[in-house]
Amino acid sequence: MALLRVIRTAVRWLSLALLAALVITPLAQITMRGIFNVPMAGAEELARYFLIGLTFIAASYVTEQGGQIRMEEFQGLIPPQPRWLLQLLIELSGAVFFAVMCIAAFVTIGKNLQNQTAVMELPFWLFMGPLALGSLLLMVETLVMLVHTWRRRRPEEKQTVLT
Amino acid sequence: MEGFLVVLAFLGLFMLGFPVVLAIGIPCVVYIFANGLPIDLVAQRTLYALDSFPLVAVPVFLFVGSLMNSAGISRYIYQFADTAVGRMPGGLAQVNIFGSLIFAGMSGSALADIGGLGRIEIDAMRKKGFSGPFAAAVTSSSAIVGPIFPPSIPLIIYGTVTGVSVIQLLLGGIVPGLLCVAMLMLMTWWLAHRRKYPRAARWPTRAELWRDFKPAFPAIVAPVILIAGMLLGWFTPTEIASVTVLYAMLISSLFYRELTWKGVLDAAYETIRASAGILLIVAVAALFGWILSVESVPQMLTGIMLSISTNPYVLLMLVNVLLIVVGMFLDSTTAILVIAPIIAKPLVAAGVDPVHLGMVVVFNLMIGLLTPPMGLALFLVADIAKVTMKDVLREMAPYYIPLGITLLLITYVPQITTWIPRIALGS
Repeated sequence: MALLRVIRTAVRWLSLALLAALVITPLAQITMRGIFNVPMAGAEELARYFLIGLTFIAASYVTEQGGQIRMEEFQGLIPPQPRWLLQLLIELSGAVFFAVMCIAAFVTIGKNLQNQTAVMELPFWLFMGPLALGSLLLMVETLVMLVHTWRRRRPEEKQTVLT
Repeated sequence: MEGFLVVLAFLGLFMLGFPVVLAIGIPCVVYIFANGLPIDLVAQRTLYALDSFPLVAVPVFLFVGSLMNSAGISRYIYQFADTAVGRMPGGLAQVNIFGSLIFAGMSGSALADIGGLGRIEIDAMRKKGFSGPFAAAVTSSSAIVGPIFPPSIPLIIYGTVTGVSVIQLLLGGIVPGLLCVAMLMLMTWWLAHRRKYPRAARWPTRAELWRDFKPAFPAIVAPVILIAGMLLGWFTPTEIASVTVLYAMLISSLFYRELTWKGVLDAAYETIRASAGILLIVAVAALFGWILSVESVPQMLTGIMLSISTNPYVLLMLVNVLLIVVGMFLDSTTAILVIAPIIAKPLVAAGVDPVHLGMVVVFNLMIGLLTPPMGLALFLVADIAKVTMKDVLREMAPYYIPLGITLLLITYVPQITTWIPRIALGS
């Protein structure tokens, strides 16, 4: 659990840094283009990369905080025991899905080791890295939820936390 | 056939309470394995969906909304709205709607409006004797102006997936946003007369109006600066989002002097949670969209729609019915990603203006934020007001009328949407 806490803290700080970079990059481009008349060639690509990074890295934080959007109404009508089993099934299938995403990312990286991005010439493993790491973290968080639900032996009142 | 099975599987899993990401993603992965397609597709389609510059605006605009709430800007907007329209029949209910319009000029998110300004408005309305459910109903119905009036996150997403000009879409939202506000205020006026709601004792003096206008001025003038900057070519619609963050931080620290580091951090965490949740759906929905394309689902639906009628007005009516049903079950981002690329083709082929169609789709789906069972705005407002969803829905009932009338006007009078883009851009 101590390792998980360290990972979660690192994810939060990295997500903050990526959000800051996402805000600053277009501003830097406007300044360079409008004031100094020297547009930054890779600014758009960099901003897109930060967006990819933020989405996949922070996704596990969203899962941890209960922020994955879902519709709970119909599940609420199911009796407790089958509902508990359904929640276990959802979490198990979630862990498998994110594992598939993670494997897909590593397979894609393996097949494109020599490739680079168009403008910034980022190596492909770096470009695809947030997806590989993010899916791995998502799988871990979903497994943590699965263990938690298993130990409770009864269903949880799941609510989407929006803000 | 397999394409429709993927759609049915998605709906089934979603109804069972699977998170949207899994409800979309699991049938897609099963389809890929069942058809012996390479696993790389999963990684490539999801990653490349986010390799889009316009989408950069989504988290950044969400950050603006959270910052406005953390920095106290929402409070000044509320104070000015209270002074300006608090005497109108309906009092604070009118303030609530008018305040949402000003808030919409800086934030493109309905949920940011409810989470920030909404909190202040609901508390104030309760203190003045309005019921909690009514305050919640007014707050949520007026919050949908946020994603209609520029800037707007759903319009940016719509432009990204359909290739329609984001500038035209944003400009197209000005009149529909104002129209929606006018309609909601009229309904509130009528309800106030029937229910004898309290209102301010007198109209404000010029000095009072000026006193409260000054602190709200930076927020009021924001959309003018942003639209002017966009039209003059200083920045693109995506860059506007970052400029708005800078603007919000500057006015918060220099003008209002209320922004703290803790406030910035809280706003940032709130943004990260909201944006990563939405964008992960965007990523996985790209895989879903790709499967539908491979299975020719859009072409089949185009054929079915055009076989019913080629009259654009009939097609628009069909789209409205479809989107109302879709909006009840899907959140707006997912619905735009899944539905917009499918319906855009037949409608544009039948002669509907793509910008006009974008507004019809987005406005309709914003009403979907207010319809159960998947009404995200209803969830949030019921939670903030500490009332039941059933009570909010009872008070919401009259407000579906002005929203429906606005939707019909937007649908059948395209000039409401296309007028300003034509004037500003000559297109």
